[in-house]
Amino acid sequence: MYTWHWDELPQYAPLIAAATARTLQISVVSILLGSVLGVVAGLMRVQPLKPLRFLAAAYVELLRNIPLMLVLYLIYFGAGAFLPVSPFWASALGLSIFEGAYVAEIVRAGIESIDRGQMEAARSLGMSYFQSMLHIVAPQAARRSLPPLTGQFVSLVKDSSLASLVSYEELMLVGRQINSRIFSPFEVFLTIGAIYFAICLVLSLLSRWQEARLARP
Amino acid sequence: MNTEPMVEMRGVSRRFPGGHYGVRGVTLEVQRGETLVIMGPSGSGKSTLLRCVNGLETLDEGEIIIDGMHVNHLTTDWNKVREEVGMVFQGFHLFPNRTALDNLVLPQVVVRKRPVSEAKATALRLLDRVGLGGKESRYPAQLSGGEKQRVAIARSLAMSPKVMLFDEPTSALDPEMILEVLDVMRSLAREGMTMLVVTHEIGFAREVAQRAVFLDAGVLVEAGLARDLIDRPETSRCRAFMQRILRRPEGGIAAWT
Amino acid sequence: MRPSIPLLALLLGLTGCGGPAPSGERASTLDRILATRVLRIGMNPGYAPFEMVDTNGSIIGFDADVAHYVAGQLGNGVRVEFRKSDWDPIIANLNAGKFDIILSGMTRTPQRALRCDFTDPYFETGQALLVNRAKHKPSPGLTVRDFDRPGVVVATKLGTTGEIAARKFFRVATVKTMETESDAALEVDAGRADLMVYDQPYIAIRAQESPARTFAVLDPFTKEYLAMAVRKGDTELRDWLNLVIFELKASGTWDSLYQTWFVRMPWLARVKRPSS
Repeated sequence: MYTWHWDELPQYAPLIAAATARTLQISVVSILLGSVLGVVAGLMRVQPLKPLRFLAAAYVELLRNIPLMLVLYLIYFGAGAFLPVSPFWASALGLSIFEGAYVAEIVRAGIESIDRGQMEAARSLGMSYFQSMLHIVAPQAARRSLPPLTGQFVSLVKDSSLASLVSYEELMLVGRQINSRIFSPFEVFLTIGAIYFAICLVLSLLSRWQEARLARP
Repeated sequence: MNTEPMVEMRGVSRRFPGGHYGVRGVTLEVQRGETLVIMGPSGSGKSTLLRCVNGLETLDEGEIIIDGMHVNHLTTDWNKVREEVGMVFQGFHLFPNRTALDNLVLPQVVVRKRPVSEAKATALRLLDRVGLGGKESRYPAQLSGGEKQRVAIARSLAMSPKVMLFDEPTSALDPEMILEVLDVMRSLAREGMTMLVVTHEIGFAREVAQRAVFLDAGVLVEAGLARDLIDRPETSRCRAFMQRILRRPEGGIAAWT
Repeated sequence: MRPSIPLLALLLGLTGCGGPAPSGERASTLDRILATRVLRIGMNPGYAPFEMVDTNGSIIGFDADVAHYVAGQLGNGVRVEFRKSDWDPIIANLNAGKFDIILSGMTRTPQRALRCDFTDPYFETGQALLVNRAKHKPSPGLTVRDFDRPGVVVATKLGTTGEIAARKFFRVATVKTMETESDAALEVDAGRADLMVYDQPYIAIRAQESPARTFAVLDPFTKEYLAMAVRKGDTELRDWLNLVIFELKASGTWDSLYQTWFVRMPWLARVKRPSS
């Protein structure tokens, strides 16, 4: 029978708190970088110039068809062999580049879901392609993209656990370190799991609140 | 007094991918202050022809001249052209996340670079003129079809265009709202706006338009004075079309004056 | 919190219900091994020369040969089945019943002994250091204390006594935990870490593979006793294994294995090693 040893865990609270901070840190940085990258790539895919469209499509296809773990390994162990890169930046870059491809698709889908008539009407009033996108299409697309984007951000928070493989001391790695000392996997990983759950839940709720705000005409 | 036509088309052709012609060899003129109606069965290329005038469709052959300027689609700054050529769509296409007022203010500020206060004043005046005074704070979702189309017309007018294009402006409206839109269009025509109108509204064509053209399978089959084309079409195809249209109630507010 | 019935059942299943019962109602592990003729050994390959994967994919090494010796002592046609496991959950996997004995260069420690039972030691070693040549000059008399400075990065493998020793001996330097010993060695090789802490035998071999970029400080600074582990309460199996270990040494087999794996090392060609 399994004997619970919850009493052995509280001494590691500072360690877990630090790890939580690091998970949050890398998630926020990667969400920001990944979103910028994704929005740029998504816009590149819908605009009229063919070479830019091709470039963006190549990026998206490549990153969506290889595992995140591979990307992290390539950056940390691969590129890291001749270009010094810390576990944090290797993970942040890897996560951003990877998630950026998914954000790009969400952005593209959002823009393409906006009726062509909106663009035509804006252009017919004399607005340039850029002005039409900026004032008319993009705001509408952004509103539509918010739910799937949130899903992607939540995914990213969970994916940040892979940073443990390149020795970044976030929640998963610290959890395993603690477990290797006290050998109580349930206590340790249930706690870690609860923390991930809380972070992701807050993110989802924030997004739903933002969605409601935007829905008010 | 400028006697040059406002819009001139010479041998305009537009092919679709796949090869077949949407519009073929169309030549026509629209004089300043004239209302020209373009009619024909569906698929005849009426919309395509109209969209060539403001560059939403590109020409494969021919020329279009607007107010004396050749609009060769390779070098033309279409944004500038479109400031002078307004378009009203069958589907209205109002900007849903902005109020009626904002729909009119935004293009003025962004494109014509007018100060906001001036743009607002113009917007309010135009909304009033199309009969929507007091509804400027409504969002498109809160307006009826007829109201939306009137806002759309006002929006195009806010740019102070020289020419107005109408692509089946009442085809998506419930019958009881068609009149209010046609009224606005009639008053526009009376004020001397140059208008190209694609429509099935025979009554409007007969009473408001000066001239009409009949398109079939992308080719301009017949052209002439609006009343003549409608009452006494010369070609057999035009005659057949008119008979079909006039037999049906929605084809003619023949009683409309 | 009131666990639901299905959750409880899941928990029981995961912990290998049927763990050692004090009154010995269930069949003993030893009996089961003899009946099924399969000796399941839990191993985390990678620790040279104890357990390694050769170019054919088979597991070879000092521990592998010891395992075969144990099976031989059981007689009855018992053969060895190696069950690979990640290192940090290896004791949990033992308790879950995925294998019956851990034979994987595991150091016996009091903390670990809270969760499993250890045999007598079958090997004695200690922690040593693999150092990056570009960052530090080799010199005789270098000890672990010389490296405990701010800015120094120490690589270890997660969950090993090397990690524990590193955290104990390095107060100022930064300790990094990697997934595998070869990842940790790669950190040193690539210069992302100044040094690595691991069992001496591994360090010795690894340093030879990359002499241009690394060197070893082989004098062990801890004393470690490698032992086999069985599930808590599996005293019958543990006692029997102790006897086997005694025999292993007394019969001279241990010495012969040591010669093969630590001195002559004919196996080096069979195992694909990263080149300098």
